Amino acid sequence: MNKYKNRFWHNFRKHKLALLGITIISLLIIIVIFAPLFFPLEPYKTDIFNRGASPNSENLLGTDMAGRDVLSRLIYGGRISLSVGLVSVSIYLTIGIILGIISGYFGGIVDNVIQRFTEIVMTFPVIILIITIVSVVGPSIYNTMIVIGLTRWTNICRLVRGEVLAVKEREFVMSARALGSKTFRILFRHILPNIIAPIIVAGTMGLASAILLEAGLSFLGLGVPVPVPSWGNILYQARGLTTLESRPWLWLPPGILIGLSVISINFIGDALRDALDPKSKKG
Amino acid sequence: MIPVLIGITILTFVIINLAPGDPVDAMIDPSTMTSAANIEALKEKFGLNQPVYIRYFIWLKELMKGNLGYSYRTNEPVLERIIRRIGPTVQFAGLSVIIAIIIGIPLGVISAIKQYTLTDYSLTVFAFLGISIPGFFVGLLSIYIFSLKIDLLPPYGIGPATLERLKFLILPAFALGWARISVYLRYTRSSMLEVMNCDYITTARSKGLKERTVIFKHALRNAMITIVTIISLQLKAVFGGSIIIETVFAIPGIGLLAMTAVTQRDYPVIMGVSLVIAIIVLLSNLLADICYAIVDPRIRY
Repeated sequence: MNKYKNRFWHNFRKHKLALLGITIISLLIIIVIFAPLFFPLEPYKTDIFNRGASPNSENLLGTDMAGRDVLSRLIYGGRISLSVGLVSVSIYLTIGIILGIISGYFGGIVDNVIQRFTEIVMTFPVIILIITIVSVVGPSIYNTMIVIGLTRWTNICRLVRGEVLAVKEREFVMSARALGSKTFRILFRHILPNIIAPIIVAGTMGLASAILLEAGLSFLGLGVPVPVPSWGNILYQARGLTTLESRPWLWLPPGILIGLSVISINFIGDALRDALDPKSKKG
Repeated sequence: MIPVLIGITILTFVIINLAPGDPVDAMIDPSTMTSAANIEALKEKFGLNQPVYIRYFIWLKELMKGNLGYSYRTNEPVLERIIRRIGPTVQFAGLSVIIAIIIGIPLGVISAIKQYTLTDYSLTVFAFLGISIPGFFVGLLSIYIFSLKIDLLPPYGIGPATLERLKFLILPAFALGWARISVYLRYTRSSMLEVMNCDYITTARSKGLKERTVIFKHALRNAMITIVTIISLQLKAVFGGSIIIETVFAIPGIGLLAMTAVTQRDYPVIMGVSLVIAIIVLLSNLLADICYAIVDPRIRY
């Protein structure tokens, strides 16, 4: 009896948390896309007579130190943070998949070179690599997407390589080769669809970590530059003990939104892993 | 390991070459540079007029001698600045790992022995919170609560180099360790669960050993093999995270040094820091392999 109850708990938890995640993230996406269409939001309008105002009927979450409406900035910031996450994940999935497939399928010296290069990139903490590159190219919203994309592909590359190694000896690949299919076709029509499940899982988890990374970079002032709002740089502007102590409405909401969206995506990713990729039970 | 080390230097060199100013240029002691003619003579002497791959070897040779170049701002040797700043980073990063181990591993053990109970699920959700809430936000929250609201711990800085410093380092170490707590928790849990299914655990139980002895002496000790690896693999993330946390708490470590260098566009310093950190990470991975062999006598290289 106890065992059944526990099993129920098990399923209950999985579905509930993933559902909760989907609900929260969909709500957030709907709000950041549609709220500006229905409510007058002014994320850029400064008002020097109304700086650092506490929450009131006109500015529901108060104003920042330049007199801009915090709620408007949070909503527009959500657009930026979520899209930076999405774009950078797409970039690094692309790089990781291409390098991983090539590495796994061709093997030999190509594999060796790609794997050594992956190892080298992996030795640097991502943040160090990124701040080094940003110090050269300068911070901008596109650079943020590109640097995250250029530095985070290593895990995907390793994952894809491993999966390709396992799949490439299977019969359907052999038969495709025997039928004279071009290598490109074998790679992307036969192999890729068969290894897509773990990639989807890694991509979902990757989206969560890309949003975190963007927040961290913008918080350092090296990500999305002001005045364009992002959750990370709203936090950046709230640094300093006076703001921290007397104006919690400037830094609590963006922090909570980052945590909320990242945890929702992680819940979804975890459920996807259970559903799509039962072999891997990592973490 | 050696190819990776060489690769690291090449990658570093390529990135610095993209930056304004010449990396080999930066290696000449600025105090010897006086006039334009003098600079030309020095460039000739150092072989700076050679093609880029030769300059790489010149740069590498200087690197071997411990010359990481001179800061554009203060004209000091970069290595000296890094050595001066590395103490605080190592102290609070080390403390953060200790905190994460002390909290994470026991919670992971509890989670494993109470698998599929409410306790386990609560700890799972807690672990999700840990990897989802950014450490710097935890840092801000902890300053707000423990320094500003109840005035228990200092909000920033590192204080004097005595035991007193511990008070300064607790909050930043916790903020840095925050994500690690969850990672250790999850890996301890899964590796404990794996070990608990092994035959020797059944043997230990059937001998009539106490459950405590089985868990701590037989299971945990074997589970530690995976955990030790994870701890050392996480060192990279610890160093990465310390840059942000040092900025939040104004800890004068190498992370803050790198951040200041970025705002001042002091490229030799940035490169020096990233090179030093990459080498530390590489060495710690090597250390992990050695630990691995010590913890698990079955492994011999």
